[in-house]
Amino acid sequence: MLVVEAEGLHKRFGEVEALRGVDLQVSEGEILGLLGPNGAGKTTTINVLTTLIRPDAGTARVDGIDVIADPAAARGRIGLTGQFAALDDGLTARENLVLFGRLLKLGSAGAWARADELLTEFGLAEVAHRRTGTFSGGMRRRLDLAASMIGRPRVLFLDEPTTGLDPHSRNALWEAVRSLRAEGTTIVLTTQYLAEADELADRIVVIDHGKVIADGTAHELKQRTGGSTCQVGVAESTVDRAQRVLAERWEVSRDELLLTIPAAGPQTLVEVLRLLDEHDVAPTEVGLRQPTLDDVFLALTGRASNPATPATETPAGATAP
Amino acid sequence: MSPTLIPTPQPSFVSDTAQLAGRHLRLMSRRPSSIIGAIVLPLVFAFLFFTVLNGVMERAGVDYAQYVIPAVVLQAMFFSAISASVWAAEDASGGMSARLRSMPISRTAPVLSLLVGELVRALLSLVVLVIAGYGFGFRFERGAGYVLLFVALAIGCAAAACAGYIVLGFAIAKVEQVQAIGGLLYYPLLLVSNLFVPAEAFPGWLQPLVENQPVSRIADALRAVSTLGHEDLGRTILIAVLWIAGLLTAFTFLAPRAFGRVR
Repeated sequence: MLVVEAEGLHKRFGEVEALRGVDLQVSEGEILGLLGPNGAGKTTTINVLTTLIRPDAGTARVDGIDVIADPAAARGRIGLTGQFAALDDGLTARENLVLFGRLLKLGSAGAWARADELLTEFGLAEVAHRRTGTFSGGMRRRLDLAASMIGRPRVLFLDEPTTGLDPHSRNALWEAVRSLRAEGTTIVLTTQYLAEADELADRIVVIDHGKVIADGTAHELKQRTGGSTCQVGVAESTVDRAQRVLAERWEVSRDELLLTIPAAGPQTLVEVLRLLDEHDVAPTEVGLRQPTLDDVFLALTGRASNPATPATETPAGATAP
Repeated sequence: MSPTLIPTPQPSFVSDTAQLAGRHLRLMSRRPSSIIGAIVLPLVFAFLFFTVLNGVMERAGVDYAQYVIPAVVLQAMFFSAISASVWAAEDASGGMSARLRSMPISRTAPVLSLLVGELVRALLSLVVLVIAGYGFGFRFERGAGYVLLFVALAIGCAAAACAGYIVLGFAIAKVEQVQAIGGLLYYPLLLVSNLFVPAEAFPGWLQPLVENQPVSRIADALRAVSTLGHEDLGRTILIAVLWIAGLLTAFTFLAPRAFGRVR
């Protein structure tokens, strides 16, 4: 059963075409990863599906309800954890949850009970009485996630849930998301982290420039980019020789001291090492690498998903040659 | 296995506004700057204006306690408005506005609750200032009905100012910018008025503006209902009421638009 169905979503903000015909389908109980670089249209898509903005064209249904024609009804079926925590720093964790429970008409006793239930579920029972202004980033995110679960939504939308979190907090949040899925909640999450989509999502939709450019499981997407690669690191004194030798048999790409060769399997690695050994090249590192979603993104769009910030700092004391 | 079905919550204008106004009041009561802005600052201004200007004004034949208490009350109403704009901008720049707009609650409640909370705060400032005013020699010289009228006019002014500043807060959605622009509106509005000194003290060319701008008109009405001897009492009150009603209508029209645009 489809819980989210969107077809042909278009949205323009002035000069910017944020969405140029996004189609999206999410099945019940699934975690869908909406993956794309900054400005790809992920958040705009979420905002349309959560009734925050109206699309210029297209249709969208959540749990069978048309979000454009009947946004009020749709709001009863969804939970949203946005990029910015929707918490009051001056309230305690419990007070924050109770407020949303009251707004969802759980009644005073019901809101308290639901708050305590969620505080326990998200590992925040110990800090229930603390004001959230004193919380760490990870605790805030978990509380924010708990807050969006108060009404037991059919679909939970998570917009970049782990941006800015340290690895430990990130893992804790992933764990929380997985247990929500285990309870039957359908989840749509956006991320610019390929590792996150790989880790959490049952299915990934890659979005770029306001269009869906790929749709499939992480495995399927990786298959699409071709197989694994063999990587060999060598010393500077031997790198030219190694490249020449390997290039006689394979297509070699070089990044500084790292040589990459398309691999047909572990056998390629064995052959590479034997060949290098015959030419007296001692590798400093070797590995067989499965394609990552970064490779997928590169193959789909022709550019890296998260271009590394260029190193602009010059080390102290460095002098021009 | 079907999950526990919760009936779809129905938006309730009254209950949602009350819950969110309660939230706003609770947050303010826990923020020292809100308490200072609501109680301490108005008292400091009342004390400063009275001690600094009382002598001069007395020599000019002005009963300054009667003159300045309505002024510091109006000033406190603007403190509430500035506070409203900051809270609106905080909600808009964090995730709170988006969360509330994606929930099955009254569309008006998030905006109206800010107004309600700030009006409670404004009322508190007013009571504190009137009590302090009695210490300086201020008196309600007309009957109890006029005391209520004084309160109604002051709170009406607070409502209009808050509504305007809430629009500003949601429309700009950045706390620092909202504070800067809020100040740019506040200082000329209050200083180029008859709040603290009579209009005659301004240069001739500026006097028509000073006399006719809304803050002066509302101050006139507050003075007229608290102090005996004002001519044209009815007309003075009417002008103030029209200003308040007009501004409130305009800002009420704009507020949902500003809130609805918050992403």
